[in-house]
Amino acid sequence: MTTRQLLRTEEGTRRGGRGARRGPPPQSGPTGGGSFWYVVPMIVILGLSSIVPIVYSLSLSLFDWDWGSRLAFVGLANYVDLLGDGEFWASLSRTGLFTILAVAFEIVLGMLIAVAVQSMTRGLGWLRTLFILPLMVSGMVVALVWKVMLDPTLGVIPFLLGKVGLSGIDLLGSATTALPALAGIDTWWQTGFVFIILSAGLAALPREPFEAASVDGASAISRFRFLTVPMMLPMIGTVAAIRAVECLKVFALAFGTTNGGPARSTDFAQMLAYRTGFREFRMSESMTMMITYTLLIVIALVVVSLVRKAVHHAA
Amino acid sequence: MRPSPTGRMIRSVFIACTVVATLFPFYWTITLATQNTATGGEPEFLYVPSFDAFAAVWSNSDFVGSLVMSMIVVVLTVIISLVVTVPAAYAFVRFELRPRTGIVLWLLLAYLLPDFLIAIPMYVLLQNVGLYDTSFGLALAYQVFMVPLAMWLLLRFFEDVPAEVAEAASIDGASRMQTLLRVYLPVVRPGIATTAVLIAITVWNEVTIALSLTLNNPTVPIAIAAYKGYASIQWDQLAAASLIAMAPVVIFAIFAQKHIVSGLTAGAGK
Repeated sequence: MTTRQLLRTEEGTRRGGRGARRGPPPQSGPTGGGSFWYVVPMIVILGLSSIVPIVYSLSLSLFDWDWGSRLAFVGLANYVDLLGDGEFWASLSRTGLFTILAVAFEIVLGMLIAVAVQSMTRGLGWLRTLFILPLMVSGMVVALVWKVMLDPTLGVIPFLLGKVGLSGIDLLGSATTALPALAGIDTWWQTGFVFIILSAGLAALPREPFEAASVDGASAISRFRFLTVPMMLPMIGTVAAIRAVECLKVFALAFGTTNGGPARSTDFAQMLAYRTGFREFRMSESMTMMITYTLLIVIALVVVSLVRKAVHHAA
Repeated sequence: MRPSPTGRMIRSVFIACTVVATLFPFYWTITLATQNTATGGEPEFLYVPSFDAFAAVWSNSDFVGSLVMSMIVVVLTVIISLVVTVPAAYAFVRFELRPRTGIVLWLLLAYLLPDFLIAIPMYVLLQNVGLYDTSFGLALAYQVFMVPLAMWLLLRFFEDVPAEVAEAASIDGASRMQTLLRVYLPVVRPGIATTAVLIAITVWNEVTIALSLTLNNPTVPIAIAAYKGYASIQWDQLAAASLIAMAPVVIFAIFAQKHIVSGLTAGAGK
């Protein structure tokens, strides 16, 4: 689920490899053998729900299939077409922009809230419950409620903005503001997650450096800048990676509000796949698109984790 | 570290702002649901509440049907994923299985997959085996994300059980199954509850796969999306339906806050 766990797993393998322990593990139990069967149901279910559809997609991506009787082998033609399709690349860059904006907002806001409530003695449990409430709401409901609140004629937010002299604001109706507005809605929805994780991380930091810095007369801002942020950086990276993976899958927020518009400005990768597959029934093309997208995400994550490792070594 | 009075005031104002921003959409959804918007007037903050919208939503058999469908899907998904992951997590931790790294990488990868990579082929495959638009088909498709989620959490909770406890049981001649059922399960039960809670919430709220794999038997979020096409006069019903969908999870979150927080932090590798 996280890059950090991925890294930890890799370290575990290397250590295990060097240990070169042969034969059955020491705790193989009194009945001996057969522990394999405890894992088989999990492998079967995960295989049925992941490997089978992926292999099916991979094979159909080599055909030209439109949900009808036309089924012709075309080799890699779908991939060649996709890589030359400007609309696909445009949807990827929109998704990337959305991810960068949403993750940046969420990390900054989540960190600020975590630091603000850190030394609170009373009411922290209530605040925590309050901040996880948005996480409990379906993306579809989040999208529809915000669409109604932002409605230019009857929505409450343009109404209130009108009271302070900002009239005629239609955030979701303009091609320049729709994408940042969706990133803002995602921020309302998911900052609680970032807050919960970073808050737990802050509570686990050692106290001594902060006390020493206080004694030396360091201001709260410099303590935050030179102690909290550097010590929290690995955890911030992990949370950012989790949020980025979720944001790259963005669908419900756009489906429920803008439906990809205006002028395709919120037509994210998964929106394009949905339309291609389920509206236009170009099944092979939509499968090709999702396979390519998955490969790009995996490559991006491998690059990011390699860079993190290199930075870690350099430090 | 006592913050200065100014610092404390800035902090209080900041916290107050985030609290208001977090709660406002909930407050406004309640307002919309209880306000007669049929007049199409400006938003009103003071009004006589009406519960007609709830009555209208409640008498909509499509929406009530979606509540039943969602409940069935949640129960099926939780049962399937726990039945397959609890023994697997136990075996990984207790017997230090060798292929663990490979499977953990596979779990990680499965969690990264974009929903439509699975949903589009599943749409075709489930139609071929007659499971399209059924609760069981949907629960099966959800395993691609719920098995990794459950494994991540359960591995952590099983690892927290002291090895000596299991050692003692095996010296007493308990079989593996007995060790799992009598020694591990009572200890890990809160962890399993946390896992079930997170799966249930995720599935109750899920949009993408439910949208792809159902047609006449939609889950709650998909049924709510049906209000999207209507004119603004339906806002009250949209809001009422949203509140009904949110209510079980939000009430649950208030009482099971500790479970949810521990699940989220365990999942993030803390």
